[in-house]
Amino acid sequence: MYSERVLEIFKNPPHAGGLQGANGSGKYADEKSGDQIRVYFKTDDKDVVLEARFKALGSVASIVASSVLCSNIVGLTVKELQKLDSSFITENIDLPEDKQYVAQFVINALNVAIEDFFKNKEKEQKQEKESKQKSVKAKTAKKEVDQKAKEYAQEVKEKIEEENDNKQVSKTKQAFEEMFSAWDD
Amino acid sequence: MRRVYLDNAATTYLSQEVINEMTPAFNVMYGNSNSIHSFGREAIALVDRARDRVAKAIGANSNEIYFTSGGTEANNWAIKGIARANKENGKHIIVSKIEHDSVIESCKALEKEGFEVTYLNVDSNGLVSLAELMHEIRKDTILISIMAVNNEVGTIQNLKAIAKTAHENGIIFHTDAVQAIGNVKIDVNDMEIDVMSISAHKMYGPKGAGALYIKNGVKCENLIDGGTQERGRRGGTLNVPAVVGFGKAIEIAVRDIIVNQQKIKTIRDYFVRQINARIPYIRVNGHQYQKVQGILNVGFEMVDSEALVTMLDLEGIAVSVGSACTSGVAQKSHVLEAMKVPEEYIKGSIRFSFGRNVSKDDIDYTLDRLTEVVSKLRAISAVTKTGRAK
Repeated sequence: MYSERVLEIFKNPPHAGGLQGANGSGKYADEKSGDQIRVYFKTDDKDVVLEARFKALGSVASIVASSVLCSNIVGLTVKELQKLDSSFITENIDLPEDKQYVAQFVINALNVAIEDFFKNKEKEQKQEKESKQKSVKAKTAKKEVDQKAKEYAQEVKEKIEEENDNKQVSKTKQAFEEMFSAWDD
Repeated sequence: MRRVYLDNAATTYLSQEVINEMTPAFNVMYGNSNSIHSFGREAIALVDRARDRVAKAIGANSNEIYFTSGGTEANNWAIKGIARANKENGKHIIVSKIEHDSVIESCKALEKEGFEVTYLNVDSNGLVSLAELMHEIRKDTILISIMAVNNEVGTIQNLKAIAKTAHENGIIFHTDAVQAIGNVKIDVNDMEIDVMSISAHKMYGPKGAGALYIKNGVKCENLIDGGTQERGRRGGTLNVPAVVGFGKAIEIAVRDIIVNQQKIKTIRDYFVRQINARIPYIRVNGHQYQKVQGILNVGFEMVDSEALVTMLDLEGIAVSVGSACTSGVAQKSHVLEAMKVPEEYIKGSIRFSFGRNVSKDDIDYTLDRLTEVVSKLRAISAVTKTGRAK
């Protein structure tokens, strides 16, 4: 039923396993067959797929289809991933006709991973924006606080000067009074 | 690479005794068993001797044995033939949910003709409940068909009790005994079986030969018309060599039943002990005691049965996903579903069926490879042991 090539891939499927640092991960579970496919990918800052992995509970066809997808999406942008359908898999591996439906399971998992990627990106951007805003707010607040502190410091300085002036005046006054009182004697 | 065959419930090799018995029918006594000349008479003599052997093996009369092309044809004939011949008495049929597809699909075909079919539940061991059977019997029930031994899990039904219940209500009882002969003692009179399907290639006989036992007096319409063969009840030239082989095979199977079952029990018990010790998260499906020794159905969590069977095949080991008749199609086993086996085990259930020629080395090799491939598939599985996706 399966070709030599399919069986070769199946024996040691490339890209099998989890992916640390994945920024897109998705799962699809098919109720009828019980197959479950997980797809993970990691991109660079230009949204180009650097690495892709899969995990599968499924038939030979499911495992091979998942592996073939992962092999062929490295180097594509996420935008390009969005345009993929099951023919992307079936054109790259000769699955028997009655097993080709599993390619759709893999694409479904990929689509969930793409959604996850955009959610993560949005979250990241939101966090960045909030962080920037916080930073601006913090700067402004610091400026205000600095300004207030300056003003306060000036106030205190003036007060001290005033006090010193007053002290000086009363000292001088006292000195004159002492001087005049000496004359009184 | 070593090759190990553990799919004997799908089919068996031909024993040398059977081959020797068949050989003259290929090129010495090769006449058409329906011809009236001497070549034909030689052939019919071979056929009649085979018929006598089949009859003796199951406790029937020779004139109650009708040769078919196999178990599927026998089942089709029994279900459709009995239903159509007895429809003036009613149109209700009772079968179990775990019957072979040839019975289930025959019932579905009859439903299109206006018959009503009740599919009985089974318990978690695969046994039909007598109480439920009695509850479902109606005044218009004309046929009850329950298989003697289930082909996927090996559970043995309580045939005598079921037959008795059928007869107390005046209902014809048929059993699909394809997996039973050679594994359990079957006597159609003692067990009050009215109609029974048998197949040669599950008992070291040739493919392409089977039989339908129809007790004298039971009404059953023909399935295949167009010839006077089999006393006008089943048209078509008989595959004489296969029929001859069938006769010999069933004679040997019944003769050696105790020895074979003991040997296979030893192999099976060892296998079960070993897989339990070496591989976690597995489940043996079927009855613990009321089972044939040769069939072992095991569920492996977190893996898919087709992937498992293929991995084992790449290591030279032949086993089966459910039954051979349904493998290749992505559908869950209707037998395991009816037994309410937990989903995670149904997905990864495979059938080992041991034959009398398997060696301990074969079994040890299988155990080693099985342990490896289950680990390999679990390492890339989308599911963990808690059932949650990683």
